Amino acid sequence: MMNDMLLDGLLTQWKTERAPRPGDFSSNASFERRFFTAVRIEKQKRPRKAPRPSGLLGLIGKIRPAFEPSERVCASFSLAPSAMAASRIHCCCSAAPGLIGGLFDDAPVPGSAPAFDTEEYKTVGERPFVAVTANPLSTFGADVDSAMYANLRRMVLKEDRLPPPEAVRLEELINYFGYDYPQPEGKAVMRPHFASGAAPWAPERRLLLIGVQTPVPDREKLPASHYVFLIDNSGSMDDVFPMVREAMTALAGNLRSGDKVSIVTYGGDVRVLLEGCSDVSTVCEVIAKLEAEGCTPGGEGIQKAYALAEKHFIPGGNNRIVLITDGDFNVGASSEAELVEMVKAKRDTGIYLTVAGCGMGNYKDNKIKMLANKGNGNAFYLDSMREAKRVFVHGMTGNMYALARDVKFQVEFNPAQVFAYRLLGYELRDMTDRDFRDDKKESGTVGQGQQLTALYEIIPADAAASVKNAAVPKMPPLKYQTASASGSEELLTFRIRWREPQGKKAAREEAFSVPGLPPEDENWNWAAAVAEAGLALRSSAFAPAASLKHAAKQAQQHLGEDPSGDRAEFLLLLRRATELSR
Amino acid sequence: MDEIEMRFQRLCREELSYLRGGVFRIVGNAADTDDVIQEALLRAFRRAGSFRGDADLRSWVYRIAVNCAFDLLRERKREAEAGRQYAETASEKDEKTEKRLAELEKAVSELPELYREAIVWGCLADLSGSEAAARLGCSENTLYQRVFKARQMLKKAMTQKEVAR
Repeated sequence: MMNDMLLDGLLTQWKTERAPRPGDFSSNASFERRFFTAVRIEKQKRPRKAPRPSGLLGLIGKIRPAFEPSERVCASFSLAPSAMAASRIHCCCSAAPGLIGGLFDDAPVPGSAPAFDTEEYKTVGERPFVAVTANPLSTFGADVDSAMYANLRRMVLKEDRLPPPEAVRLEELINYFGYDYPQPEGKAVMRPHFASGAAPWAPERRLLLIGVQTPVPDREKLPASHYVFLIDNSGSMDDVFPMVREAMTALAGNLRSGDKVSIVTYGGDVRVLLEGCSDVSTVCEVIAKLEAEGCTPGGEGIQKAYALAEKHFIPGGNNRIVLITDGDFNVGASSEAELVEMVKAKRDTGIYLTVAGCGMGNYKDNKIKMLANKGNGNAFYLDSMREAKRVFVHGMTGNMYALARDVKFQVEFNPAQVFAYRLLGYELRDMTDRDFRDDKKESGTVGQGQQLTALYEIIPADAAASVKNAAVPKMPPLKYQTASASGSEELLTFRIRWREPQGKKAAREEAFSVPGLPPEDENWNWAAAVAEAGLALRSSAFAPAASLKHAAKQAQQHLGEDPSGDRAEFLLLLRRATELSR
Repeated sequence: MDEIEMRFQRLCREELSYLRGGVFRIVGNAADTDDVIQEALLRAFRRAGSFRGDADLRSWVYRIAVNCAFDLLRERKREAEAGRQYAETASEKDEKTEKRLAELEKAVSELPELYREAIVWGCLADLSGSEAAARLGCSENTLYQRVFKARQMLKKAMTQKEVAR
């Protein structure tokens, strides 16, 4: 007869005698690696249905973060979807060490694209070299993102581990840092800066830097602002509230006469703590009393915020909602969709949206970014007080005052000077060449006094045949194209297209031609070191010689003045990463 | 790494050792344990969009891990029987207890899902009552009730076996 005592005995025996012994299992990290490999295989097994090019482009338009950059502005590159698929195939093929190059230029006919899976591309894709004769145009849209850097910093400095290669986005790394670009002159809205030098990881190739600077505004001349702070004060925000309070107080200290602040919190319920207040001390008092509470936030907070923004709208001014949240909107799937729809509908009202994510790891980052993109805004991840100050205080004018929207860039390379090019990073950012002048195609926003940096690896037309063949193998000579381009010695033409931050005025466009390969400068030196580090962390197939150690050495040499301390921090990060990679 | 992968990464980091502790006690070796956990995680990954939150996902993985573990046992047994190699599990030192343990294992595997997972995570794994309850998405009290009910069912099943012998 089985009784309780017997059963207890058996259960205890089971628990103790069949317990795993120390050493039975491999490390958690190796389990994780194995699992994520399986995940990748799983994803490849079930490729998403290939959308038609138009659908895909539409989708990309929706995905692209409308950005409004601070010092870390990024650009987004574009390529025909079919070509991206081709490049993915290429990347799979070129996994063998030493095999560099791409066979990308023979862009397939639109519609014949093989299954294109953003997710998959995210993990394997690297942009290959493109022959200028086959595709002289490279188009990209402005975009901002800093989450990746904050993420990298967390992994390397706090968690003592290297990031998975696919998590490294070169464009985000490069744009995290400030550069010393010349200011636009007169009434110019943007001024490009060019520099080039031998690529540190492949000296036979050139690394071309294109930096764009927008005018640093005279603070007194900035339009009046109305900020609606929408603060998630649900219980999960408890840990980060001191940071939020301090960041907001710092921002409030930057307010000028005429600026107004409203504060809405949502936690247990939606509360308007302040409405259109222009008295800094009152603002600070309210901020000081903020506390995390409640546990059932609803979606109406954001509606209230838009209502206040509309009520106190400053025509021609800077009208902006600043949403501070841990990204867990807790509003349920259906209202989340409604939220996105509403934010999207407000795009043309002239009300901008900044979403600052904070708290627990940034795994809700996508959600935060998506909302910001839909709302003509920008997104940040605040992982520390330092980052909060960076966004709200030092980068305030850039982050909070839009200068131009739907900003697009296009580079036309001269085949007489450049044989092939490759944009570093931006694998996930797509814009086709013809979208450049299509003003229905949205793009990112650029703020006041901001910078944007893009790097191209280029192979000059006079490079050795072996270098050319390694980059773009098996190219048959073209019969009907002439590579002379009327004998021009120009390297390239760089075009910028943008729209005013408000209103429906037609887009403006400016073109700048670059006479020849520009010289190296300190901006280039720093960007080249960052790029090398990024390529090494990514284990790039195009830069097997890139090394963290070399990048750290270069970075140290070209630290410059580094007023923000960002570069010094990066150097620290590089050294730690070098140790971890051993 | 996208949002979903991040969720799974966190889940791995936070729960792997507990999952291993429970599953190992069912399947008896580390390699099978990891296979089972990976399978459970992959199944969860395939339907990642349908979980309401992290807690929901976690409970689901804990449940599926137990199901997968017992599936593996059944699979093993079927293979063994096909090869007529089974029945050598009893050790010589205490044949009777080993037999009883094997019977208990079988009885647990035949419990309804809710009660089976209550026994595995509530009694066999290295989790306290409150930890186990949190992972199964129920209150501690509910867990104890389930364990109590499960024990009654086990006693009944084992007694019937004794009688049958």
